[in-house]
Amino acid sequence: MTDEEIVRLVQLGEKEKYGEIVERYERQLLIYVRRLINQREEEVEDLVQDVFISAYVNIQGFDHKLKFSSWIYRIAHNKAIDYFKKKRIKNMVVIDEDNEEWLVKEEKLQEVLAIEEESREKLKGMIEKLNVAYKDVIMLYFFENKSYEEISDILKIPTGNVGVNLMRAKKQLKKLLISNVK
Amino acid sequence: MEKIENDEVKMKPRWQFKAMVYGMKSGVIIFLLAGALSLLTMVYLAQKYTPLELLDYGDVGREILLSDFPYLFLGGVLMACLGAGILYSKIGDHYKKTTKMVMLLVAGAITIVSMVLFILAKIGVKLV
Repeated sequence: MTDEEIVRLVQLGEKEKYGEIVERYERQLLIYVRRLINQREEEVEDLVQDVFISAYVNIQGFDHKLKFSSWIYRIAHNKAIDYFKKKRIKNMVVIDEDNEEWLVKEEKLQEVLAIEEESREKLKGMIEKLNVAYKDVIMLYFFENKSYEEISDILKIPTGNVGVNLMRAKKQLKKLLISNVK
Repeated sequence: MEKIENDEVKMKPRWQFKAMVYGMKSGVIIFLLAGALSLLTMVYLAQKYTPLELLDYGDVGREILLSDFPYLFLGGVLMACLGAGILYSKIGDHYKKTTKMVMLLVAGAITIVSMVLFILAKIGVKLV
């Protein structure tokens, strides 16, 4: 069953089906939220729980023209922003250096940037220095493997802007890396 | 899931979301009408007072034109464009359209609504 089919059943009153949605998305959202908020594990788990609760409360508002994953990522993104505002902390991205997944994604980003060997070490720190709009697209494209269409739905920006922001993000990253090496 | 199963957390009803969408669509229509009426008022004033003739009187004429210009109605058209554009981009997947496209659509819609109202007024249909 697709996510959208499960959501339709939940909307019709089969609330126990929502458990499948939680199972499918719990791990992904924990990783995504952990990267976004960079706080203790309990805070991350609490925030992800809020995301699932908010998704359930607003499930009748889910537009079936969208992908469910884009919709729930949008909720997670908004919850993270609310969290920053509440705690009055800067929007930070955490890179888990011991995480194997990071290493695979890092290689992909390095290939795309075609950067020198000595710059690769500094990549993690440089991503954190990016403008918020650029950081979001880099995270969603390279680390969450979202397409342009999905990123457009998650961030509620025109699809064209996703491409432009990604291009600018890569340019800015490369500039930061080169200036840092010097 | 416990909170959901125990009904501690409940879904918002579908009608709330439908009402929000209809509210926003109504808001767009209201802004378009307001913009059209402001534009028509400016056209009416231009036809009645022929302000461009003042430019024949040099600097004095230009100053009078600038001081008597219907800035309020021009502001009304611009605010209507902005309001309609903001609400329109919040409905459905219209956020995918660029700002330029949204503003073009809104300006076009205001122009069309103005023309329709103008034609209706000319053929004698009482709008008020």
